[in-house]
Amino acid sequence: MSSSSVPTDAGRVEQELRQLWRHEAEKSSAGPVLCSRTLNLIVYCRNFADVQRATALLDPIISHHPCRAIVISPAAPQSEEEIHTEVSASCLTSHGGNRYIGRELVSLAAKPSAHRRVASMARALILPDLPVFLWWRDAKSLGSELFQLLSELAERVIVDSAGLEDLQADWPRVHALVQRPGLAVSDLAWSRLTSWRQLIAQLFDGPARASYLHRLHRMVVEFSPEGGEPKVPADALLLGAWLARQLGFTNSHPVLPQDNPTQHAAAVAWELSKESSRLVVELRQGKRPGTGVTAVFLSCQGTPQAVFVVSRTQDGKGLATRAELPGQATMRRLVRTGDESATCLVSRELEILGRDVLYEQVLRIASELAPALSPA
Amino acid sequence: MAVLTMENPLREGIRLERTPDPCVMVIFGASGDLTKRKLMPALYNLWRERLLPAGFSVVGFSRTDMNDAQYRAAMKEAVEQFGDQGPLNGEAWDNFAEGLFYLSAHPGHPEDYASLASILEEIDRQRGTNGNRVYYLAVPPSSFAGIVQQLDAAGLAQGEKGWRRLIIEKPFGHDLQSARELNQSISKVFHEEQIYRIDHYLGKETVQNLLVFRFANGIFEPIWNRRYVDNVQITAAETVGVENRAAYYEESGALRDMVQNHLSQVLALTAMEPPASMGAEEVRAEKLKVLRAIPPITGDRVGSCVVRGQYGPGWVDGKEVPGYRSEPGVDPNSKTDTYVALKLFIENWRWAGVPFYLRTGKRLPKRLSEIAIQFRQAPLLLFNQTPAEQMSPNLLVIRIQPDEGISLKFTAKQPGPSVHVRSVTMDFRYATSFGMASASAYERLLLDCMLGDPTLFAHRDAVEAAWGIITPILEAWANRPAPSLPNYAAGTWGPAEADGLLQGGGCWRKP
Repeated sequence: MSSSSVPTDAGRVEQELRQLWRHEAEKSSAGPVLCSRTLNLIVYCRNFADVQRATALLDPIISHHPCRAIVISPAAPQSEEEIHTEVSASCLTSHGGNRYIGRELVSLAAKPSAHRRVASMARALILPDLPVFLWWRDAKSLGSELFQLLSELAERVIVDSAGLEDLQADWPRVHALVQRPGLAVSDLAWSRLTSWRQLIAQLFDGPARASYLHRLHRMVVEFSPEGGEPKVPADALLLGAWLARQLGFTNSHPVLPQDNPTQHAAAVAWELSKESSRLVVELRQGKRPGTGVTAVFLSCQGTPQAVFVVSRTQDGKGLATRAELPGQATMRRLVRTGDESATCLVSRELEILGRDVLYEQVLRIASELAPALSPA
Repeated sequence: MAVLTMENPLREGIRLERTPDPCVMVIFGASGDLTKRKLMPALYNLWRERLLPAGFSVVGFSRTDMNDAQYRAAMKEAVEQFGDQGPLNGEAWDNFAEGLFYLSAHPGHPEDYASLASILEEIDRQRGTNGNRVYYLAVPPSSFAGIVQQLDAAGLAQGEKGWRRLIIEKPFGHDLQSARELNQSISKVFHEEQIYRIDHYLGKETVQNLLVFRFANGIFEPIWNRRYVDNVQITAAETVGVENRAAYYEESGALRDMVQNHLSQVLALTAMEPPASMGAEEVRAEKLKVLRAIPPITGDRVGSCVVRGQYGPGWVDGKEVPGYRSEPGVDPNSKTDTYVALKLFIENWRWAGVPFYLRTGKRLPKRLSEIAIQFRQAPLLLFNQTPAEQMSPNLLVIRIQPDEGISLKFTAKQPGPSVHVRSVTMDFRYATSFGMASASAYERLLLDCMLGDPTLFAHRDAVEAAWGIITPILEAWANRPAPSLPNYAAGTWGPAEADGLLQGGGCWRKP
């Protein structure tokens, strides 16, 4: 990898990148260096430490999605420059060992007074004819001036609503995002639910199993909040909203949670309706290891009750399902969880260009539920 | 493409994943090599990746005397040996194995099919498989018709509840006549849309990507024709010899074993017209048109358009290997072809006059399968400082295995005051570009069958059309003396006579 610090000017950055490429080509004895880029990725980091974390995550992401990455972060307080710029370029050796695919990284650390300037630099550095993704790694500053400026450059914004501190207060900002025309939104909290949604759906495959969906009357989403604070995480809220949306339940109103296993744990519940049917969705803190959603219990009306369970395994690497149906042996299943690392989740989002309509609809329902959540 | 279980509203919007209805796969030949090496590892991988439904079950049907527990243990050993997971996580495997059942049975005994019916009904009850069945015939083709008739007699081939599908493995006959007879006997019991003729080549990522590459990019299709393409070379090379398949291979040979199915299917995908949609029927119809547009090579033309070979002793990958006739189980005077190269033409407006060269062989220097599209040379050599022979034509290579990917060779100027040009290659490889392993061909195809998507399976008409190309060659070979065999050393690219097939002093690619 070659890197250098350069004056703050998009033209000079491009010039420097060309120099780095030439340097890489001179080092290579195996013929021309080929450059392959599939997208532009703008990454906003909340501080210098986050820049380091994000840069480490970018390496494997860029190897899946060759791109120009522009990493933007707040400047260090002691910095004298309004914008500090660094560029680096590196090559990947292909399987044949004699050809290379390039990647470029431009880092811009900007003071708050330079937000407009840094956004204009980013605009100038964007490679033409390629999609632009904005990965916003600071959920707290969603909607800020810099976010507004950078999101105008992007076709898709990647956020992680799991980072929101106060769902009740912050959720409307996420909801507002998806209402912006021309901007698609990826939410990593929603992406983490893919395995859960898939397994829950599989529990009801086939006409015999699907009939239980009509009798479903209670869903409990058990979660384990990050850092142990008793507050409902975004993914638990999204999962509850998803089930309600898929089954056509609306008109929610808060009700008292039925079971609260620990005295100080967070718990919240709603009752939703569809014609004469009622569905109670309860989110509650559990004791299972892990963070985010750790188990889902679905119970159906009838005697004896049919119960469907999906839960994270003790080692956190798998998901177990259980179906207890009247007159049948309990059916169990264990599968491994899909890769939920940030690298993998972001990589997957970079494969998608269109809007995720289902997410947007689920988000709307989650927004209707969110006011019932207690503030942190 | 397949329709998901629409009665389950929770399925809507789960992107990227397709999961079939709960079903039972009945494997005939359940203790055989194919089941151990390919089917069970593929099914277990699909299960682990959450691509199979919770109630998915397997019933092994075989003569070997075993019970459920012994079958589960044998399959665990097979998945550990032939799968890519290494030692199996006990809990995950146990969970999968709960859906494995075994019936020690004879494929010719009607009472065993009655037992099978009882087991299937019980599984339906306990595991919610709802009458959905896949019958996988992992047995020699000579057993196909008998098993199909027994399934019919036992009322297992059709049913009011659920769907029934049949998977059969190649060879689909040994010539046109036998292929027709086989198709007729099966079609008396199963409708064509229930029959899935598996060709694992078509499950490979690059073969599927061929359609995307051709029909999702605007720049290739306009030059994908006789005006711009000089020739097409399709190669399927193996480094292995006959291994433990001598009995089969002695009867088959390379032409039947590879060209009739794998290579003809790849050829059809390479040359077909854009289908009206990517629906199975539309894609298969276009492939069929290609095969029907290939005039059979008959009579004396066989000598000038087809070269057959057989390997002698030699060195492959640093190891000395015996000749074909010295392999265990092979007739010391065998005339069986272990190599074949053909020159074919497709008589339609797109391809008239463009030779398609197909070759396949055992004990060649490398294991690889690829399609190489060689474009016509630039019409005028303007760069006099570069020798004409250095001006190589553009070449598009689609690698099917290993290192699935696509590369394009083009010419560029070397930096400097003089105009010296050289060829450079632009490479796209699945593994590096997407950084993820593709599902195995069997995983993809088994899943497609369970989803009811026959796009990547051979239609009866295509099988018969391919035999229509191959059978006249087999007949000509039978009626004329074989060349002096063996005629190529193991570890070489086949007999020298194969070079004579290429027009205009061209040569085979040496990948």
